[in-house]
Amino acid sequence: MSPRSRYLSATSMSLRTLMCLTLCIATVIGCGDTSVTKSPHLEARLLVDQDSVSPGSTFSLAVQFTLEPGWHIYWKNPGDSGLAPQFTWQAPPDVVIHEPLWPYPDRLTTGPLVNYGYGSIVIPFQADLRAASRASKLPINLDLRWLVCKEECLPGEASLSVTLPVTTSSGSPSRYAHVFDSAFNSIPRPLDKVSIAVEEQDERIILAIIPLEGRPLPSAVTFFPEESKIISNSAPQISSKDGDILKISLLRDPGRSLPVDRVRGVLVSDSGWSPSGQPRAVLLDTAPGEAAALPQTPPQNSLISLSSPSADIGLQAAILFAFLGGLILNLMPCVFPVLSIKVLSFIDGARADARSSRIHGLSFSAGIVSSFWALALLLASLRAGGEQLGWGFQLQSPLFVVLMIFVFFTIGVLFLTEITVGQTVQNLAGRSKLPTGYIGSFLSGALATAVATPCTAPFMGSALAATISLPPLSSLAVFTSLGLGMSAPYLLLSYNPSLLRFLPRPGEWMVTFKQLMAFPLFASVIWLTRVFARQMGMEPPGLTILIDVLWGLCVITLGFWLVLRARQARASLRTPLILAACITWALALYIAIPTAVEIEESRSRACSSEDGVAPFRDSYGLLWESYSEDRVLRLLAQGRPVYLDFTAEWCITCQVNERVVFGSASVRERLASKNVTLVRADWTSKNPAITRALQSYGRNGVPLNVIRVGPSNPPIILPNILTPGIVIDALEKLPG
Amino acid sequence: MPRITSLVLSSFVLMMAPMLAIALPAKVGERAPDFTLANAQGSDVSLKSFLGKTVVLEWFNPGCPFVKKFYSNGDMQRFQRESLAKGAIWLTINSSAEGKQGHVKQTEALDIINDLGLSSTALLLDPNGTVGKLYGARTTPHVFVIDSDGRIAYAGAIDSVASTRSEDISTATNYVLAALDALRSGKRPLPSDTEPYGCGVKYAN
Repeated sequence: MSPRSRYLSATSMSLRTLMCLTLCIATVIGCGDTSVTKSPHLEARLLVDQDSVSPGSTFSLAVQFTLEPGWHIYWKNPGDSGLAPQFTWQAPPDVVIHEPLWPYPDRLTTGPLVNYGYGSIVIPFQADLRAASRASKLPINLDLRWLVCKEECLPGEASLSVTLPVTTSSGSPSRYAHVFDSAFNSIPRPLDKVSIAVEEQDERIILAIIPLEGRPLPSAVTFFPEESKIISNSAPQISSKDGDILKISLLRDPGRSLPVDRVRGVLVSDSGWSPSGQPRAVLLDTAPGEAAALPQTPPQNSLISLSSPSADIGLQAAILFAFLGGLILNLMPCVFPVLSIKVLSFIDGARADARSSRIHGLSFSAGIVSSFWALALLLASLRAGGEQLGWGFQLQSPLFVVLMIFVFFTIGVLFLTEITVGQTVQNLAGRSKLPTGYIGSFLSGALATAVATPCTAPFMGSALAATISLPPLSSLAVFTSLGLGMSAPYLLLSYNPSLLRFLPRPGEWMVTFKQLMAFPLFASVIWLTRVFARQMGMEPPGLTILIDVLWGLCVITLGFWLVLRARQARASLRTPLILAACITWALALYIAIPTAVEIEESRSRACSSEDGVAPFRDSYGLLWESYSEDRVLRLLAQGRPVYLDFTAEWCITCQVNERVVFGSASVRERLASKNVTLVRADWTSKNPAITRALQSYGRNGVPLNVIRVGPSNPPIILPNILTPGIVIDALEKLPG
Repeated sequence: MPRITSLVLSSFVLMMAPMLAIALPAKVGERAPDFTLANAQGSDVSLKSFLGKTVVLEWFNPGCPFVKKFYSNGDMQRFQRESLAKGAIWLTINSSAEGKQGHVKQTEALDIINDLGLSSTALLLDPNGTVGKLYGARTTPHVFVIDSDGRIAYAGAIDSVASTRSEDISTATNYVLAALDALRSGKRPLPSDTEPYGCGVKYAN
């Protein structure tokens, strides 16, 4: 500590004594018990959980931070920016004060950055007084430093102190004891009865927590890394349950090049880690060896083996959710028309005959369920064939991503065009020579499931993968439940046809809705393309440009679709629709123009090393072409004057020449009036074509500035060191 | 338990994911992405034009206490002079968005240079945060050292002691000067990748 800060803390100490004295008047407890500092936006108070301590006992200290709303301090890992509070203790040697017990933090988002921190919080410390202590009182001092931030940050420091009497009997709880009780509830607990596996897959880190002894695990958790440079703080985290296994997929810190060998941190679940809802936070450490100490540990570091433990506890829930999922499938845009065609007709037509309506309904449902069984069989045979599937990891296979791009795009196009699924069903299920009886209803059910597949395929793909880890019988049960869920509304209607009037009537709105649904699909296609491009090693800015162009195409399509709708719409709707189309196109321009600028920039970067005739502008606004022998010959054949600048980034003379010559407005005027084409031959990197050209002018290096006009006239070779006057003179001599 | 929830959720994530496009920042060992920004005098400065020289990029926000730590006693200015004397280029970049702390208007930039005695090659203004995001700059200060081949040789904190106190500068290891020395003697800097500390860069929300 420098003498100056020593002085400062000494004055603040006496100030605090004064504050304490004032406090003494107000309180009966006395000043030994508390010390507090009030700073802008933050108040910090040093607390003890007991009024006195006895030798050989353990007690707790804590710093209670009270912050203005909106302000925060930081966790031990502050995240993308910030700084954790620092605690420096001074206490008699008989006292051992342990490391801070950090409560679990909140995720704080500011623009693109994510921090881990708190608003008002209590940070406790465990302390021990040695049994041999003979002290009668313990003066404990804490030098506290913090950074408190909202948009802006303010650092602060204070010295807080308490004096604790030592007694032979154990002390009674202080008036702050309740603060400690609630503070300890926020301290992460050890995570027991689990085995942990960690696996790196390309850009992601997958944590799998496998319960032992039937320990229930939550399904939605947030991970807070104890160390920086392991995961990207700002990337969204995906947590999910696969059977009873909890999986958390995290984006690796993109700046990290080394493999991750250990992941430590805190896992927070809003619903808690036990049925009682407590604790909400647990400690996670994938340290090698730790998990191995647990009995019956499944093999580590292999996600495939993670999927094998039986999922008895989760099965009932899985069946329930499958039923709900089946119900939800009915809301998918291709399935709704199915409801309106065959089914509604048989239900509607059989209004008079309740019994026949029910049997029709049952047959139809049987048809749906059987189709799901067929899917379950397909799954079982796939698995027997040795396919290794796991939820969410499909996206790491480029082949899968490409297939998904095609599937999503095809569905999108089907949605947009007039090939409606409804008509297909009508043609197949209605007009075909299906038996008209109950068997007909059964087949309609099967057909409906099949025809609805384009909509449900992305969902079914996930369902297939989600049930992959179940034993065949369990997965059959899940699929049955899915089918029952999907057929439930039909069954309900067939048993109670009067409910039909609550359904919206099929009509034009369905077509519009279906077509509109194409655009979220196209958005998914763009996202998948981005994933694919990343897998293929494409980097920004190229990647960004590609994605922007695709967005532009999508938006243009949306505009044309709006125009089409406008032509078919009621007169009153036409103007708003056309207006919407114009707004969309304006949006396309808005996306396209920055992209075009980026392309320009990225191309001028590329030009320095590659052949090509792509024109680019220099910082003086002059338009340059990159050197190509063919291009120069063609320009000369056209009779256009050509200024050839042989240069390189590392050639200082060249840089000076360019700045002096092209920075001069009169040179630029002459170049324009003579209609001179500027050609830059950049020799920064090895370029055989440019080397040959240099040799043809009798040179083996840069700088070289040449003015040429006409294929037969001798070239004007300018001196190595240029002034604007030299160039202007040479240009003046040009014919025309 | 909720296989179907995860199923519905995953499809939803699939649908929503395009909105969550994540910029992938520059990595140590990779080529430093080129950029062009206006300097305090209003003319354009391109990273590309410094190819062949070692370049230091320093993220800056005059209102941030971590930045003040280095500027209030002339430490950062000294680092800048030393680096320039060793033949390096030092670009001070301000990515504070308009209306945010530390935002510097073009008209104020020269005053900032004079007031602080800024001794870097240039103060560059990045009010849209484009270059900050291109490099994944998270804090002020956050430092990148680019070698003469245009590759990122060092990224992270300016020194080893994360604090706001100027007193700590003298006891800390300065990673930037160490990186420049390593590069001059033909070695790779070690460490080459540290966790930056400081205020968050004040990007637009």
